Amino acid sequence: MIAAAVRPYILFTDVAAWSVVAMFIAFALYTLRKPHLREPWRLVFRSPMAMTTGIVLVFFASLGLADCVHFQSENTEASAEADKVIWNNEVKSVLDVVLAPLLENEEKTFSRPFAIVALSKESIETKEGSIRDYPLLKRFQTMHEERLKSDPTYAALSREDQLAEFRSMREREVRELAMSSLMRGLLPWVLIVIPLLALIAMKVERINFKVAICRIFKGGGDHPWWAIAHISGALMILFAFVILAGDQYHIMGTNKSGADVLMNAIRSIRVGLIFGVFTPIVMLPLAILLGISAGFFGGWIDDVIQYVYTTLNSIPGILLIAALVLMLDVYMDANEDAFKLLIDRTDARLLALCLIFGITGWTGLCRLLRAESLKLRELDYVVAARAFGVKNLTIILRHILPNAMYLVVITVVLQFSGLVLAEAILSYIGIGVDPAMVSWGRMITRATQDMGRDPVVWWPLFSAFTLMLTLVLAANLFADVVRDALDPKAGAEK
Amino acid sequence: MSAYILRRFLYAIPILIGVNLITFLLFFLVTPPDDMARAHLGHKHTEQKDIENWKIQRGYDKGLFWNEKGESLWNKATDTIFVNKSASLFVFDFGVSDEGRNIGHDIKERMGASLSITVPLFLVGLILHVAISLLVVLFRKTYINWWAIVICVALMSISGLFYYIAGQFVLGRTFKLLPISGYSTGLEGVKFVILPILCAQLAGMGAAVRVYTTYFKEQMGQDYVRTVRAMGLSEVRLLFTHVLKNTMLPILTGVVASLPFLFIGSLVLEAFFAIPGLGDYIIEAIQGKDFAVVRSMVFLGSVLYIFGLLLTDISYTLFDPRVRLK
Repeated sequence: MIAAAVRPYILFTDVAAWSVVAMFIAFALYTLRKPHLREPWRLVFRSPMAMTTGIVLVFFASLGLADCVHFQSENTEASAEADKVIWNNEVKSVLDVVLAPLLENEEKTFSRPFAIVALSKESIETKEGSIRDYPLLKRFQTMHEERLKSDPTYAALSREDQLAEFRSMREREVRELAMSSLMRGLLPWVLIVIPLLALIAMKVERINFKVAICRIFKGGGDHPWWAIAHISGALMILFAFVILAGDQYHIMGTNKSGADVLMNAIRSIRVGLIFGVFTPIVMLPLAILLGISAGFFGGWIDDVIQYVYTTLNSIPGILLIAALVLMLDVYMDANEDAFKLLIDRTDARLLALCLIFGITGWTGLCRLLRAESLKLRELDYVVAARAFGVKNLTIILRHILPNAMYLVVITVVLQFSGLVLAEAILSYIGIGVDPAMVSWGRMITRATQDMGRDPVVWWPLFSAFTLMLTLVLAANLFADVVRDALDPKAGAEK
Repeated sequence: MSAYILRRFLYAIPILIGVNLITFLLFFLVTPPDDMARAHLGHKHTEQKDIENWKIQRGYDKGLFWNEKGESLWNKATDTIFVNKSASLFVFDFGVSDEGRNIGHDIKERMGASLSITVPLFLVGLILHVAISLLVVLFRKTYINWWAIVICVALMSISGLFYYIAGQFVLGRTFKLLPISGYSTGLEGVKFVILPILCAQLAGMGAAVRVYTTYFKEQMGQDYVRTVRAMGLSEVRLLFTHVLKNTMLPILTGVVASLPFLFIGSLVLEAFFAIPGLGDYIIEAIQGKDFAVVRSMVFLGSVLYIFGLLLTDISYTLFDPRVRLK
């Protein structure tokens, strides 16, 4: 694969993504150690809906995180000439390496999903002379040329018959691919996932191995083991199919520049995830600090903070964001040399978008935390702590903050899906990520133009929407279960 | 009541001043007039005198807060960018856009187009969402409830863009029932407005119905519901008369606050269907880097928001006789 030297290339958004992972782990460790904070999460772990969507989200997250480890490879020819190490300008990620089979098959322009030929006709040389027909895609063109040399019966066929041969080959290959991806997916599933799951089940539900396997394959027990096992299996088979079939066919066709559409859709996961997860994290410090201060201290602090967030809230969100993005454009134009590589510029813009959204969006959570702090301040043990002379900061950290955490979790989880959808809309209006960056918003914006073609090019739109829908739907369903579990005001009807 | 309104109005003034100041600082400190000129004129081959000309034409050459070249002290203090561009917004003098058009005049012209979409959308939407939510709550003990929630979440998870694209494609291109985009006034304009409203309704239905069903279900746990049932009232009558009246308060909080924004229209909708409303105006300004227009629209938006908050509070007194505003 990579024979030359390789050095890591750190992007700001990569740092952001991994620090979010670190925060998440820290939060999980903190919460699981305190029983009263652990209780609500039990409900989440027992819900089949939450666990299924959770696994889907973990799957998306791993694809996204794999795309957050970047490196540069050495340009061996230039290094040999210059006698020191010269690096390629192209920056790749670990996900790009995994998806390498899809990356390398670039065509010239549009082609349908699982196609053998391109979308539009061109002039082609055949033994009958120059005709206008659909040209073969790269892989099939190479196969065609080789067969022309080695197989005289094939060379004697008309073009129609040659294409028919390719079509029957495609049928056969797709069937083989389905079978082999089933096996390639099931093997690690049976060897790694099932035993791992069984071990976890044994520890959590205090059963022996045989009962654990029974519960995994037939269902039962307190936790949804059957659901977890089977969704993991389905995802692994799907992933195996994408990697195997992607080597030979363009599963979702190609776009205008000839790049594989499915590959672009998968590479867009990173932007969606970073925007959806990092932005709420950005707004947390401001919201928590100001919200709890306003509620706990009251008085003039409360008045000032209320004035600040009412004023900020008055400015219509989208206009403020548009204004800030405009200014970002002007700033980046004026300081061009700070962004040498293209990837630095697109990355900085994504980071700036997250910051802009975070800074304009903290007011909602701040209001909620203020109301909650006002309530928590009057609780018996907090009043007692104040009477004892415990320092304010200690009271806040020990009593107020942990009890108000559920609002933070619910807000972060609920905002995720909204932000992923918002990115698409922003890109359409023109204030989204840089045009050079691959994201679902960009794909959809370009796809709206492609839909006007004849024949209709529907596959970029379809793949972008399907992946986005899966992620957002899973996030919404997961968020619902989390909210029902964490929110003490679950309105019960008699 | 009038004392309350007066007090709210007076409280709104420091907020508007704050908004004005923040937008002014944002616009002029982060991007000084020199950078703005360069963004408009392009980077290569622009000399300093071109930049100066551009600034003089638009009045950006004066100092930010203090004008040295002024004749008198009063002039020095007031003939500044801040007073000319920002403070004048308070009297709704929007000034001239960076292209040279009168902003106030453009706003008045485009308002009608935005309203022609948002008002029907709002009215139809409100009636539809409330009706569907009530029906879902009526059948809440059956499997319809589960299906309704799943469908709502699914509808919500699909990006709004998809509804517009699909609607345009299916109704506009394939079946050729409605024009794909465009706008005209008068009676022929009706056919241009139907498709955007239809698509926008589908896009907004999932979220709204879900929220409203939550409100209605909360109400069903109240004591008066049991009482009314014990009195022998039918379930339908209970829902559509009593529960609806009581739930108006939370519904109104969301709805009345959005009334003033009907003027601005939906940015994406207008971009998609080529409707020359205020949303389209904003998008053109963003793409053309027209700072003057974006500034004016930001201020206008803030004024509308504060007005919306005031309207919400007043409507509380109309719908809930227990609420007294001091």
